[in-house]
Amino acid sequence: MSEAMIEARNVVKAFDGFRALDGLTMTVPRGSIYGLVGPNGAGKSTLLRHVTGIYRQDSGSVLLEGNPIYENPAAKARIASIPDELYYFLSASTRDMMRFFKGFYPRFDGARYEALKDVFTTINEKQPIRRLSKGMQKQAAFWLALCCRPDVLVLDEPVDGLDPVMRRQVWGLLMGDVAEHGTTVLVSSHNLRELEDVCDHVGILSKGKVLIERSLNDLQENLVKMQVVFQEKEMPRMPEDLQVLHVSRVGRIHTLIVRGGATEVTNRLAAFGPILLEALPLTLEEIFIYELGGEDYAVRDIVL
Amino acid sequence: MRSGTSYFNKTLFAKHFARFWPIWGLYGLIWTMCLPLGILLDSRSGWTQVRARVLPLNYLDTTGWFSAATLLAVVFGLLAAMAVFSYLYSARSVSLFHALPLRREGLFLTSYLAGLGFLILPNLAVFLLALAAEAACGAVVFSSLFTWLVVSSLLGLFFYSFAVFCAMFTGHILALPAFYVVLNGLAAGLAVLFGQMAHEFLFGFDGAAWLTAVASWLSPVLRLSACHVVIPTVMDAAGNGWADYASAYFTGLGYVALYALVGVALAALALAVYRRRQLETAGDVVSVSWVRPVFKYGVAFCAAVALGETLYSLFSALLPRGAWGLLLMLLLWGAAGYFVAEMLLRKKFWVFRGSWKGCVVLLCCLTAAMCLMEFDVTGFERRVPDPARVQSVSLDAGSTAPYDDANGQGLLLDGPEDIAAVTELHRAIVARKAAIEGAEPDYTYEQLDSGLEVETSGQAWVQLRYTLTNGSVVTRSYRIPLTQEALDDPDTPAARLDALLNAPGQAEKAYFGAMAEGDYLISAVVTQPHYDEEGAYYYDEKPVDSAGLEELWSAVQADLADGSLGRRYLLENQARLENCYVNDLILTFRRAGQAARADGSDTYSVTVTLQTTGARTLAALEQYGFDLDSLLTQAQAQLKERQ
Repeated sequence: MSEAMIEARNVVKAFDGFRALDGLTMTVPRGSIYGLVGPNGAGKSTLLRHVTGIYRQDSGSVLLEGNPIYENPAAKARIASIPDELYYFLSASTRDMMRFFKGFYPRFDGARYEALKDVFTTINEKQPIRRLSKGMQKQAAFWLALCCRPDVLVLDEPVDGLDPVMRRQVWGLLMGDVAEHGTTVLVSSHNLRELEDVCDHVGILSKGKVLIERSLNDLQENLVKMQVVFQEKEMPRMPEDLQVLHVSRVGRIHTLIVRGGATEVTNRLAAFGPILLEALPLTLEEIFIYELGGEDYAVRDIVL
Repeated sequence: MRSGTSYFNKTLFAKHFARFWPIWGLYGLIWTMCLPLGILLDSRSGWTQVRARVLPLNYLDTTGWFSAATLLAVVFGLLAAMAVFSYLYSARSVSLFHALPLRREGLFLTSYLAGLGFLILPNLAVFLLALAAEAACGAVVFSSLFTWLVVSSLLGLFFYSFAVFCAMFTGHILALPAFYVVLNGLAAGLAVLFGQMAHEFLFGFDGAAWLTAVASWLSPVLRLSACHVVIPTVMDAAGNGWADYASAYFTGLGYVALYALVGVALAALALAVYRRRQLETAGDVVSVSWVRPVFKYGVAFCAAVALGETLYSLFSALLPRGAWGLLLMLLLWGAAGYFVAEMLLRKKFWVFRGSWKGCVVLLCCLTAAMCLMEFDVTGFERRVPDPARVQSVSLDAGSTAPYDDANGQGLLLDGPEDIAAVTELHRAIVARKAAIEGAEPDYTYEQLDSGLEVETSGQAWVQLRYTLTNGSVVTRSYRIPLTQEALDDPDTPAARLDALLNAPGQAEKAYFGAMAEGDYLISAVVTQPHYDEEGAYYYDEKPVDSAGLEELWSAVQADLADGSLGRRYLLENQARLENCYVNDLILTFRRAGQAARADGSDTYSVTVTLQTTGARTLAALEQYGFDLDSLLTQAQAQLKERQ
């Protein structure tokens, strides 16, 4: 079995001549929570619609464990999704939709549906979904998607409209599925801060391409933020082989973003005999800023 | 991990039925009211085998405009297609349905069958209920009810499939009914508009039968309106005819079955289109990329022809007459249609900058087409068949005086000399195209010194229909201006037409061409017109002595043969008024081998206007006691009336 659960290889999709996906390549490892970030119009939703088998790519391939997803019911039966814009039948209740999905997803778990009533307590399962609030509709979508017992859960802006408590509960449920069943989660957002706590892999999209994709650990181990107070007021000259990506100064405190592991960089800087030397973790936001170093304005848009 | 078996999903099938129950419910209710309830209500005044046969067939009869079955199939076929494929018209529903683990074939077939079930299942239920109702009332005609079931179901199959086919080409739910209605009648509408335009600007154009036939087949609603219920007429021993309702039957089963097959083919095509459909087109007026230019230029062309032609006719008084005035309207409305289509496709109003080149191409094409027509590049207007290749030709000159039974009778000519004469007429018309087209339609009268008012100018509508030796048919029609001067000049079309109409033997054919061998004269009367004091017209009939019938018939035949009687006139000129009497000779014949019947259905009459030149006929009338002094010529009658 392949380690990659979802693979997109050189996917191109054009709408009226505009390339929404422009040779996109992406790999989502099995059992990961993969965050897909990018500015508006980067192609996140388009990519997710390919992953869920809705759109047919113009070229390239979108695979689930090596098998095409498009027009492949066996693959699609293993995928559940929550799109950014939800659709329910007019006057259909959560229970009606449960019966509907039950007719399509062979692993639909009725017992879990009953069990999750205790989580989604604010939802009246017999009330038409369209009469629920936006947040409640989103909860209903999670409820139904989780009951499909998918191997892959595709979420497009999933927690928009959910209150903080419900967000925490929902993420808890998802991570429980990942831990217990090895579910792979592909989640898109235009906000890095939202994904930082839950994702273990991140891919950043811009103009229809994945600019970079790494595990969060790789990213965090490769960059370090050092706060240093040198003995002299001015910062001494750094060695040529130390890759300092960015320097800022407030009073006598210098903040350096340096490529490399925290221990190694700390040892290198200790050679200057600083008064203060401290290694700080970077936020995901900072990692992307300094990794991509302004190469693309779109990256800046994501973190602002 | 591939699955090739999920072509049907019962959950989705049931969901469609549950969601859209008002459609099949209303459809079933209407038919329930018509048939089972109709039978029960009808039975209160006595339910018979005849009623049981006729009632279900009544709903298939198109004697009016549409049959009830056609109308319901048209409306509910569309509604069913709109309902079950409504998920294609919003990005949200598209995402839900196409993320489901079902192939597109499965989605299509399940939805298609559900929509079809909206029509077929209620039909079946109504059929069974109606059968039970008939049984309860004591008279069952299974064949009649079964015919209703088959025809209404096949009609439903066709119109529903047609709507589904239309549904695959659009991403907007409101565009679907528009496409459906337009495509149902587009061919017929375009054929009519083309015909009107060609009539006006293609000299001699007389319609294209093949175009009309094709347009009819491509306009299902119109074609199916030709199917109706036949009630045979049965003749009893006394020779009386009566409608045999017990043998009533539906005539159009073949057509309906053929269209149902077309419906199945359309459904297959719809599936092929659906498999290739780009789902991001939800919300677009046209969802298939290669259809977008077809739609754009199609709308522009239809707007040019339909609105251009209509508004040209409406504002004809303000516009210069002729091809260039029409071209102006075509270009104006073609451009308007083009940009409207572009706006619909691009979903915005400001579309001019990016698309004006296409509009220029369209306008150039319209101009080129009009030039082709106007300058007769194809040679259509100049074409006169070679007489050697003409098998026969029919000539219809419309109404000619006198207005008896030879009026409006066309001539069917197959002799070489007659055919040559017709082609000469045709050449004379073509040679004078400019003069004929330039002549305003004009009817003028002039009062002579004698006080007689005569027609000095008018026009004749001539239709020529050549059957060539290779079996093909060439038809032309012309408006020929008529003046006394033209009639007096033997080379003019008017004079040639006059000569053809009055060629020896033609009058006899015109009056008695339909007479069968063995038919014989049984009576003759001469009419005597009068005006009462209030000016109301009426006439008396003076019978001719039966002893003189045979002689009278011989005299009439002799006069017709040498042209003494039956002279046709294209103008109400002095010759016509002075030669023709106001009196008609009405000859009544009995059909060969038929006994006399009380209702007169064994006989027929032929009216021949008496003429002063018909000396033998007049002599025969006088010989058997008719007072010739009581006859009045048209001229005498006119002058008398003025006094």
